[in-house]
Amino acid sequence: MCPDRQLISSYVDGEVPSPWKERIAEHLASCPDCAKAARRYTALAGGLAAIPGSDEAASLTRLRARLEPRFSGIERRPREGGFARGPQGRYIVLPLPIAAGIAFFFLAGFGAMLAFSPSAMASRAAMRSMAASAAELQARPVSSLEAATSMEDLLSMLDSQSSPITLTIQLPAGTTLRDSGEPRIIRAPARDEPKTGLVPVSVPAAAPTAKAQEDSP
Amino acid sequence: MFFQSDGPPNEAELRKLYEATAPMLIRVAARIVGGSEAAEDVVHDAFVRLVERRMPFPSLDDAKYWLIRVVKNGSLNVAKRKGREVRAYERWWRGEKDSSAGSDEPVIKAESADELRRGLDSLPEGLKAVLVLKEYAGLNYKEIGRVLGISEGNVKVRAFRAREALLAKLGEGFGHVS
Repeated sequence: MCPDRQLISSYVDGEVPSPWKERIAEHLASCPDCAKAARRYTALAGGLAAIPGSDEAASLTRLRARLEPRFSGIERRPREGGFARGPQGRYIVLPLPIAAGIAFFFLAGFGAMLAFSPSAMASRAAMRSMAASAAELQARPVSSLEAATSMEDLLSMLDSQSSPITLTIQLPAGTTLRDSGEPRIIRAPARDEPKTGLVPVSVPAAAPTAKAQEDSP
Repeated sequence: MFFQSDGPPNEAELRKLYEATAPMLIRVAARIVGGSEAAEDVVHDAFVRLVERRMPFPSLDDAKYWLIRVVKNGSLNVAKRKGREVRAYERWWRGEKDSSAGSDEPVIKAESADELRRGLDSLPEGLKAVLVLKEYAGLNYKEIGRVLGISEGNVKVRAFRAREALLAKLGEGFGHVS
């Protein structure tokens, strides 16, 4: 009587213990059908192994270079910080610098709008626009509870979601924001500097200019 | 291992883990996602997660199985995102293309290797994961069960079903010895 094909599959994988392994080998030596099944499984394994792969050595070299700073502890991400909340109370943990950075960009955008549109009406429009932008910040539902400890982690996790999620970003309790100086341009192209292809922005002399924060998180 | 309280990571242990697992992880990821750059990203992200979360593992083996699981899941997500379609082929392997007539071992030609790769991609994830871990990570049934969180018996059944599913599409000519 022939063994089950599943048993032959396990035998080819070397997963059948003695004495059954020897008995199957004995059977294969005398049964053409079972021997053919075993050959097909073995040939399949060979075929899968023979599929041309990418340059593994090059991949390993690149991967090692990318990971080396992590292994030596040079790059470390702080675990504590702001958190984002998804539906059903699920949380995405953001480090404080990232949460603060996101808040900064909202405020910097708002500030830039105010700087270039100083009228009260423009300010109200800017505020409505920012509020709309914030309301439109639709992220995709978190399908599993995970703590993203870096923007890289968070983006990778969000990328892996296949359906829209809702993301609420809250700064840690007790976080306060303060005004910091007057906005100013850190660097603008001089008249005699070679053009880089950037479009120059003309700013009225009397209007305050935007400042980029120098102490980035 | 790898981490002590809030101190820096144990470099030696992390490098040892990397040397012991990276080649196999790259092979597994590359086979599932089909490209080296995406495979590197998946494996990179798995190690980064291990380091940043300061994952506690009692042994190198525990870390290895965790990494394989994360790489497997990450690779499947990438493959899904790429929008790979499940395609059925009536016949991939034709006996007349088999130039092994007269030789003892079946030969895989370039176009057939491509078809075999597509066939592997088209397998349901549960079957594909078992076959990839068996053929490219070199894990035994017990280890595969540990990575996937399923029983050894379940692994055995899935390995068999994965093989049969692929062979059904390759046709009767596959593995024929003249």
